Amino acid sequence: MNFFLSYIILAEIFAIVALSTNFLVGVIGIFSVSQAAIMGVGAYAYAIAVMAGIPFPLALLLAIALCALLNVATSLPSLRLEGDYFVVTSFGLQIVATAVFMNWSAVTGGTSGIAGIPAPRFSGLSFDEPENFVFLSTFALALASASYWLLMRSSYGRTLHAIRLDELAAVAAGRHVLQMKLGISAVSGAYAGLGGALYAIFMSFIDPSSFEIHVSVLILTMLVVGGARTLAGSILGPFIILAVPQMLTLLALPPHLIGPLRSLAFGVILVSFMLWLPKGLAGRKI
Amino acid sequence: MVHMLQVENVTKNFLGLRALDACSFSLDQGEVTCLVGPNGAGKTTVFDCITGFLNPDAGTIMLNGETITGMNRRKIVQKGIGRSFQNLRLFEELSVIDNVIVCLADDSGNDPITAILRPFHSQKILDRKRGEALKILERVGLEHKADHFVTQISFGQQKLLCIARVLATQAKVMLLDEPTSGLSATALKNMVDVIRQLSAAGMTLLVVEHNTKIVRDIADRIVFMHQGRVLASGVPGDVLERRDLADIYFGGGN
Repeated sequence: MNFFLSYIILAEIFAIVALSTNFLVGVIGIFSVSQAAIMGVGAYAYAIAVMAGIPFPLALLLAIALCALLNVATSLPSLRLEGDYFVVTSFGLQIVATAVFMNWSAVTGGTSGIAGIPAPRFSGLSFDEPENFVFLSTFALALASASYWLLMRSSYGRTLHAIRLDELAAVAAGRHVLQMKLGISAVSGAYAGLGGALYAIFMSFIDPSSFEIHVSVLILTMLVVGGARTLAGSILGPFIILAVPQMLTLLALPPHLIGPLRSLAFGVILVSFMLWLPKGLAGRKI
Repeated sequence: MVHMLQVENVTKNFLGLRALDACSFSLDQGEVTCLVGPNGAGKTTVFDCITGFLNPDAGTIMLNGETITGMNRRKIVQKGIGRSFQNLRLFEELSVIDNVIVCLADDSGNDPITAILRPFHSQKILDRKRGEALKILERVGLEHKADHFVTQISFGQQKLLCIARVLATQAKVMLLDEPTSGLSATALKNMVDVIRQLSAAGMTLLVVEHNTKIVRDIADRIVFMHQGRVLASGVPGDVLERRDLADIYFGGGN
């Protein structure tokens, strides 16, 4: 397998999920730590649908729609719970999701996950190979980025920022805050679903460990490093964070040290950025 | 005669504290009414009740003869009552013009489907809103600051922006909470001019104001509040001359 291409593809997939998180955490100010769970639902939904014989575009749409709905449902508590309280709630949701992935064996395959997820084929061209898949993931990221850009520059995008900055003032201006929050939660969920489905296709194997709480934290770290609220930030972050394990392999370290060192590196990066560069490389402070 | 806004026997309690006690007064179209009274008189509570931020325990509030008591906040804004806040509550990371665009009564284009799937239509809506917002900024003399950030304009200009935001909601009745507090002499004169122009254009205004000189300058009528009650209302000459009210206002009397 081509390592460089795999790195690009994974970074692109995580950039889509980082954009999903950016909508919630950066733009509207709903501090969610369960985006990996939503991504997981997208991955499982796609895998199950496609293996049940549903064609690729339909399975993809199904995953996206399901995640949009689910994200709206899981964001609902944020309408009543502010800041820190919602973090705890979404932490709980993440744990529940992992438990469901692990224990609903009949559907999710339990801890052994789902293997042999087929890649789509178009006129004899299989997206099994990274050389081909990279076009799919690049196209998806381009589409997601363009949509993000269009959304943020529209009057809707401006209103979303206003709601984050002062919800009461937005209400006093007659804005339908609830409807707007639910709308952006749906968009965010759709992005996570797209990311999850692409992940399932590319890896052709998924299990609960790919969508655990540490993945949610990793996505947040990407957002902190790249910078919240900007398109560039959400794309830069994943490319930098996913390069860390690659860099570590360049150092001739004993294999048993690589895992712990990777976690240590992520932790040091997260704390350093929050202390010295809270706006990230190309964004704003969360 | 139907008043533009009528507040009738409005009462509001907070955990046993009577913040408003059977308050009654009315506003007529195109008039500036100043709400005066010492701190804690219940002026902001009156604002909150009229705009639906608080539900009165008793009493009715009518806009143009229609009861609006208990309506939700958004509905009340759509009916034509807009408010500013004592602590401004501007959207500080947005530009001056975006602060106005976000507050426009026109809600079109405020959904993700239009923004993503109909980009050209969405852009057209934004251009139209920008034009509308610029006209509103002209009314308060801020059009030359349209693309500045809120943090880059002076305090006086920020207060004018608050008024522009209320104008954007197409309010027929404007409730302004201390629009002149903390302003320099020039900014103050500017604000008084803007309030007069709005009134001349037919706007109904209820203004919380502490400075009696400004009250004399702008008020057509005065509502004097103390401890949740309306003690007096009438033309400035009558109310401001009353010795007993002056004692309450400047301390001492109770």
